[in-house]
Amino acid sequence: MSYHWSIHQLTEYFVAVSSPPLADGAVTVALEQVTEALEAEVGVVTVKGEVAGSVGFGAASVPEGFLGALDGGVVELGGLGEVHLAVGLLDTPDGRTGMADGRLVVGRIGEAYSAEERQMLQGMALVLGLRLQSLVTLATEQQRHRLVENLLQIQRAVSARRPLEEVLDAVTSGASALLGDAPVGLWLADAAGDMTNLRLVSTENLSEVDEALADVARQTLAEGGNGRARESSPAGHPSVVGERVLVAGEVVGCLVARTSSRRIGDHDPAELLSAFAQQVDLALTDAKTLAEVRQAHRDPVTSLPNRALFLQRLDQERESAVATGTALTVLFVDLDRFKAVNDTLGHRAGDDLLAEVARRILMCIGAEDVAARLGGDEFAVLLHSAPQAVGGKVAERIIHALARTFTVADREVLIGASVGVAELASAEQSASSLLSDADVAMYCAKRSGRGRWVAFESQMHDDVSDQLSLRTDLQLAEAAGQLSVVYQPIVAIATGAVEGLEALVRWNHPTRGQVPPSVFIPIAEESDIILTLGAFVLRQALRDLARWRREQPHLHMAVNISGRQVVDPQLPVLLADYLDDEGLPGEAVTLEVTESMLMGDPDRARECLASLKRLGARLSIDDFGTGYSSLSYLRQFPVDQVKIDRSFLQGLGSGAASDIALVQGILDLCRSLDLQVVAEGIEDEASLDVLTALGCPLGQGYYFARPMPASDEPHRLRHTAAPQPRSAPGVSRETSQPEARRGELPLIGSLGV
Amino acid sequence: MQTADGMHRWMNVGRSVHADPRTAGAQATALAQADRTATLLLVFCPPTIDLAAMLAGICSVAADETTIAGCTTFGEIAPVPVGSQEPVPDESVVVIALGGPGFEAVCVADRDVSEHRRESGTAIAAAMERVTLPFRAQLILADGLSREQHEIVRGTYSILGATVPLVGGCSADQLTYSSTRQFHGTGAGVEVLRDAVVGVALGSSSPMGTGISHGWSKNGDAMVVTTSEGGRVHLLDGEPAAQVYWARVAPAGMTLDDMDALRESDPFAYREILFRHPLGLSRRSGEDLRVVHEIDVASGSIGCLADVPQGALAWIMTTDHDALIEAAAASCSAAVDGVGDLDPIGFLVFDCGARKLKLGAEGLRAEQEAIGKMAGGKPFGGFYTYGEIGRINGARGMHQLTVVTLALT
Repeated sequence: MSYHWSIHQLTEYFVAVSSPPLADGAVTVALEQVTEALEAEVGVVTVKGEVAGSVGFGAASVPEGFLGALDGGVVELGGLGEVHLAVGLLDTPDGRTGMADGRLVVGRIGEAYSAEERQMLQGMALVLGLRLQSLVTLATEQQRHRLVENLLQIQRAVSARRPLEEVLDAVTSGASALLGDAPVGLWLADAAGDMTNLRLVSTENLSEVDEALADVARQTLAEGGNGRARESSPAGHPSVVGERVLVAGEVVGCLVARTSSRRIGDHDPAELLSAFAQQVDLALTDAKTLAEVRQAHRDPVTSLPNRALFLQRLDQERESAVATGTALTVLFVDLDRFKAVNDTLGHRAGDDLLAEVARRILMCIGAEDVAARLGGDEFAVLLHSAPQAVGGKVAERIIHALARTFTVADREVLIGASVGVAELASAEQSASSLLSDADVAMYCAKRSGRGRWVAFESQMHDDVSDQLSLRTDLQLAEAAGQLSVVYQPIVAIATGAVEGLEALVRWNHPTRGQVPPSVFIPIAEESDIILTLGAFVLRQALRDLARWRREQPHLHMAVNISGRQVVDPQLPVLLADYLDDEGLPGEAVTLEVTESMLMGDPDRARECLASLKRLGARLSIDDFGTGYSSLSYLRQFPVDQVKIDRSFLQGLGSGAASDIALVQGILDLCRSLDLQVVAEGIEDEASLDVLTALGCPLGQGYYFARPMPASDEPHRLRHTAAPQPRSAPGVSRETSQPEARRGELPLIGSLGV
Repeated sequence: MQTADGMHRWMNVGRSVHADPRTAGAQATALAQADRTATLLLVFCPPTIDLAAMLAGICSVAADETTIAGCTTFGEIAPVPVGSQEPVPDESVVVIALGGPGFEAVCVADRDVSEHRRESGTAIAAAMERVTLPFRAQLILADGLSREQHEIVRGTYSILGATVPLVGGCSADQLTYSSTRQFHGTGAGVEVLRDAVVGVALGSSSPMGTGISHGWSKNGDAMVVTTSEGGRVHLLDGEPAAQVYWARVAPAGMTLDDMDALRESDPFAYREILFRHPLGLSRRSGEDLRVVHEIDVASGSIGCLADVPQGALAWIMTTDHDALIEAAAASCSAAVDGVGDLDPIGFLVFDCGARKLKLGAEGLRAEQEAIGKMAGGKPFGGFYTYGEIGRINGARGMHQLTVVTLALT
């Protein structure tokens, strides 16, 4: 039996070509098998006129003469010389394989191909054609199936409202898998829609940021047309395709892939990418919709429900409470010193602070309760099925939680809160009315000292209404000339001489008459009115001081500074201007602050006071001894003077040993710290005697003089001989008759000092 | 000697059997270089030698810039002194030195070949880009145990194409099949590698010729490779390959079980039986040989050192001493024909280890004398391999039981 090698090798060939799962592999195997079998030097497969694979040419490209060669021809190949050719067609004349224009061409030096060899070659070519056709069909079907599966998966994720990041990752991973594990990236413009500022939001198989892909993303977005861009390189090498992504018709970004195939099965890679880009459109549009819905009902800073949503919920709860006869209580929470912190640390720190406030409020309420941010520094809480008493307990918890230190912008701040509590009064009361009641109660909490809660009572509406009216009038008072400054002398106890004056503001309301400072000062401190008020007093006081120092060069002026002013960076600037305008040295001014003013933001206060000190101004702690940490403030702040609070003087006249001891202790402390002391609120001779015996240097109070207008020339309070002090317990003095004093001028307005 | 183009290219071979490996390396190199500085040193040695010491000895003589490549073998090939009755040394260090103007050698190595054979083949082909001279050949030394070396050859061929002949061999370890080594470096230092392929791109201003021949012929009826996977043949003619094969080659009275026992008791004798009966696959210009290196009684399969395509038609191949010797001479003669009228300066010879086994000691001497005679007294050197690489015509480049010769002029 004779065997022809060509028959033998066909079987090997059939088996080998059937193995590779992809077309590229089948072409490579076919070429290797054919050239080895026929001992050809070179071989090439072309499909639809394009080279699908070649062997034996090395790095050189296949010459045109080879591609167009006829069966049995001879071509000259560089380095090999004359090469005999044989050509096999990948398709039958009736097109059974579908590989029209497919050719398998081999070239051999030395010997032309025999008839048997050309016949074998033709058989091999047809087998290859059939194999490629089946692979294409299979690949197309598989690809179609994969595409459908991927798109369904993404659509399911969108419908299930999976997180947007998850959906976008499904898009890029699906696109990558379909494009043969190609590197894929999704770039989106920033929230402002800046197409030059792209963020890479999702990747697949992108080991590091591929600048070429990023460039195509920018190029795709910069160009018009169908929103598609492509970066091509020599045939068969990787190219980059990009597709625009739109949301509600608006271009927001770009999906880009690097693909190493000109075609993926039957499809252009760009077409496949386009299908995925449409899924991104769908996902983003849906997410945007969701975000817009959420934004309409949520506070962006704290993520709490906003006023609209809160009232909606309150209304629902009100109806339910009325229907079931259960209680319903609302809390209105207003932060006490938020504005000062917000103004000094900036709005970003303010937002962080609000977010933390929201978190602490949520920690104080139950799962069925609702907390909301109404706006600014106002919050509300809806207590499900809770009477006012429960509301009070929750209010306490919230006040306590918000009284603790907050850390924002690397600073520790204290703000506190005032809370109004209101229970649903009747079935007829509306949600907004209930909220309004709680608001009014909160206002009363503010009025009565802050950092507390107050339960609503019906007459509060009238009170608050009055307060609001006063606030409006106060805002206009300076312009209307209703404000004035009065002065109370500060007297050297030993000599009776006026050493200085304290400036105090007065408001003469056109219809109400003199409005007590204890009424209008707190109103002013709730807003920026206090700053303009403070500036008014400072300017006026320094103007008057300048005039009076022409007669009494050593006279000094004490001006009260509010909590808002003490952290206002403009205050030193203002003081410097006024001192300059009036030609006064800084040492002529003493700024009086209370301990509670320094508590809000001690760091900021320290900075401001240091600036004021650099101007030469002196600092005095008012109501010394009444606060939490009086002694620590003496260490922390650049204090020059201490004003002993009037409460310590009340028992002096009656000889109360504890009061005397306390005052003695304060005096000794201040002496050792070289601080000046003023005893404030001296109202009788007995107290004065004790203070004199104790050696207190300065005093102020009705006993010497009430506050008086500048026209009364308070600086000219005549020097009188110091009264001879009576002996105080434990103090030995020579007795003498008290000298007559200048009579007191009538008190103008009531005074809290 | 001055060659036809006026350049003084030269080639020489040195062999040492000194017991001290360092001395052996130094001696062989000194003999090969003969007071000259080589461009390329090819080193072939047994796996049992202290390779580090041997290479140190070579480097002690070689210049730092000299390229050094080589591998372990199943025997070294070098000229046998004419008329000498001394047996061909079973173990020696053979150093082939090439140098002189008009000769270039660029050497690269790729590691972990068994993980990416084709890619390794393409990697070593990159060295040819640095060759500037017009006549080129690619020398390939691959690990004989990495199997499917034809993929390496295909990889190299895919880059270099049909205009560059490929020659070389697969490193061996004296039929122990445990671990072979490849060498890559320079006179300043040489790496010892395994599972690697070392490629030397050769450039010359004068033609080089190649020859391939094996000397085996078909014996008996053909068999169809019904099922196979790589070099593992599972079924021949639809029956377990081990049984079909053994039925044709078994020595009288020896059963498969006897053969299986021999595998453990005397591996050398086991392989000697197998190597006498390779398979030959039907090809256009003769049979493509496959060494059978094992019979797996348990699975009923046989293992070959190179791929046996499923569907192939195969014969048991046979030969004799004369045919083997004639094939060696024919290979050298074909290489000489390849350079036309030019006078070769030397030959590189890559011969199959299975042929050595078949030849025996006497046959070995006769073979090397025949090569020397055909070489016209010119130096020749090489080694006995686990596979030969020779692509001259066509795309096929991996052989077994074959002699591949490269003639340089």
